[in-house]
Amino acid sequence: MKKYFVPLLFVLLGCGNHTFDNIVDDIVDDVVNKIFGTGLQTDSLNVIPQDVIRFGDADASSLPSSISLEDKFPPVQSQGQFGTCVAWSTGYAFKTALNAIEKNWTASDLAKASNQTSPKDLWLAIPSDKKGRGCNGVAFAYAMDALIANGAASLADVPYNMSGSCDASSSTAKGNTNNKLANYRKIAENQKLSEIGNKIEGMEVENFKSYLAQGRPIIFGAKVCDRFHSWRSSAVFSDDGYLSCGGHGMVLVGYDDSKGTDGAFRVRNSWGERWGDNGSIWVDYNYFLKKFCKYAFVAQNPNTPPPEDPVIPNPPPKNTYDLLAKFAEDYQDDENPNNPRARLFSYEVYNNGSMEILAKQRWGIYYMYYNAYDANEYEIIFEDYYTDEYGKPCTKPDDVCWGKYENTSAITGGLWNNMNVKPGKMAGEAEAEGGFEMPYEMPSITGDYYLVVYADYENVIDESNEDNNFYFITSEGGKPLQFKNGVMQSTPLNSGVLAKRAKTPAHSVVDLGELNGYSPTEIKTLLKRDKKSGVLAKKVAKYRKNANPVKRIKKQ
Amino acid sequence: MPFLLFLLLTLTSSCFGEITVKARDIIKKLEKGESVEMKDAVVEGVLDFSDIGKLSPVGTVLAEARVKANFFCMHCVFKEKVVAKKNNAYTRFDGNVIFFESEFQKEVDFSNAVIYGMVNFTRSIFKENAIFNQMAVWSKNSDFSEITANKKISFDVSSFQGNLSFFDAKFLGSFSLQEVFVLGILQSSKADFGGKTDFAMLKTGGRAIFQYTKFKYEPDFSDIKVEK
Repeated sequence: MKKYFVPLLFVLLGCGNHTFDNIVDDIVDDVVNKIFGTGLQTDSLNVIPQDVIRFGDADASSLPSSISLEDKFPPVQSQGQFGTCVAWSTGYAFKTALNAIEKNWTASDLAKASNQTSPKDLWLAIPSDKKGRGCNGVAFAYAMDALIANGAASLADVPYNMSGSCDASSSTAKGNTNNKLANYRKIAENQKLSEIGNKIEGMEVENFKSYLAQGRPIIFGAKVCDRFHSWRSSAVFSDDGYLSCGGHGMVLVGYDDSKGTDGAFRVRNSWGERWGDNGSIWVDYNYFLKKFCKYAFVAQNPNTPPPEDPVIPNPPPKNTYDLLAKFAEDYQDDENPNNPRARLFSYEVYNNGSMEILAKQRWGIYYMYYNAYDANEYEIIFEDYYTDEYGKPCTKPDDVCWGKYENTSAITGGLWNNMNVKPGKMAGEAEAEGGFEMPYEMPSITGDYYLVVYADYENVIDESNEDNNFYFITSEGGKPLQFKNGVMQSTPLNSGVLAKRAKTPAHSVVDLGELNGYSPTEIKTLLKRDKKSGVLAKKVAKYRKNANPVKRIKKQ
Repeated sequence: MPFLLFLLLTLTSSCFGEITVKARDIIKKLEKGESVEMKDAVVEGVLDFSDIGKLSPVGTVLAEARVKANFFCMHCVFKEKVVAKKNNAYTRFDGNVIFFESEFQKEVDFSNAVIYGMVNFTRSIFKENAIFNQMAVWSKNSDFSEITANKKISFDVSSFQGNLSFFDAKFLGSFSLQEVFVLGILQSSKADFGGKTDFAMLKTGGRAIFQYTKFKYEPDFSDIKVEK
């Protein structure tokens, strides 16, 4: 006997007036339970990047009382008995909806199989060893990674004609490079419900509502049991049973504060129109947050292709500013063998435009680290600031023209350069040819991180190309660097002699092969938000307060 | 013995909520198979009926705690939660479950309880959420008359093999009777629903009475079935 079944069974057997139709309905429900598949395997949440806008960017108080994105979705279809819910929710529903939003498709557009992403093609694209036995599901990340890497064909090209087995060995995915995903981001997680940990984050109604209010559907994993399986009502679902519980992937397509007793989310399923309320269901806010949703993601379609990386000495565009982060390296400081956190860092940022960038424009360069899976965790390691506020202007190499370390109230530890940067020249080159190495001590971080040089972090210079202001230091293939108590465990790809031979500037970890890594735009968005909220100022103040007076070591 | 506590309390208390009783002492008494009868008591600590004795496995997934004796309290104040469940465990009450004119200062959760005796919460006050989801009550009457629920109260997917009464009850928060089965009469006369209400998929074998009932918001009566 089972918890939920106890009272339900009493309902069935205990009611003398229970009609034949009722009983038939219940039997049908029971059969339905056996027919429809689920198929979500738990994702490795700790290695999926958190959205940098942790709770959306909408003002909770100004959120509309209801939102529906249902008209952006293709008609509800059924996954049948196969455990392909992830392919259906990610491909057929979610990806098709992202396309519909981007291309402003109508209902008739959405009804065309040629516009619907094929769940079968997406399923075939997922490596067999990542799937459960037979059709027993897969984690979202594998489906999304497949969409990022190769896209998926349309339902017209690859119809959903599963033949009793989900084995992909006999056929291969077609893919479609015009139907790819750019990235996906975690927005909420309940690791307790997923039985993988205790972390619960982002499980607030406003978090989900704000994304939906921005027109962004949400894909999520749910815990579903017997009552959910047999649901056929437009009422608000607020409690489940205990039988046949499993993970199931679905899409959040709207919300309505007036539904049920506390408001409800609208959830789209892939069990056909006969299930639920024409294939969808209203789920009570509180139930959704506490007992239903295991974790949730948003995703983006690719933007227009990024501009090509300018390589010195490209002829600078006329009358423009452009800062190019061309190179950076970071390595252990051999002169401090007793301190494994002691490191040296150098960078090259060029004026790639045609206009001289003046000290009086007061701009700067950050060297920072951020958590590879939650960029909200970042700190500044080093700051190089160009300003006319202190010292005399630098005019030739070896001029002592940088800041007054003794002025502790403003510039402790930072480098305040009174220096103009001419077109084609490297920032700092006026001080010493070949630049400097800066010693620093890595904070005591543990986990997977990236190091990045970010030029003009406050965006005070109006550049012709804002996308080349980053230079990332990563492990091979754009993978994050591993740290343990501040000691780097992995070797940076861009270190030492090899790095100096690098020909292609890496302005994004995505370019280096980490396809779902944070884009520079996301880092910019994060810093912009934190600048607005004052968080960035606090981090800068913390850095300046704690930084030791920096000595520059002239490169040999 | 069954009346020892009752007598002790009635003899030494002269006004509402004067005597203090520890929740764990109540459980100990029930574990011995003795009835608990209290009046004018203040109960401290979480009263979790599923703490009683060893849990008996039910199938491979669930476990059952079993309260064999009656539980009766009148004019009691429960300062902490009153619950009858754990993860994958529910409580079976062989006897009565009576909280007459009592005050619950924290959450109440009887979800999944199976009750063979009478259920009576008449004139009780629920200051926080009260959850009675997926219960199975086998007795002739389940009485929530004249209760006051300040926050959410729900009975989702519960079945009552007798009558269920909310006569003259006052609900300040939301109220849900979703997918509830009442074999007998559902009595909601004079009830005042100040929050949102959900009666969707309600089934009754007898009448559903809503005379002089007040609804602040439009109730959800979708898919209900009333046999008589």
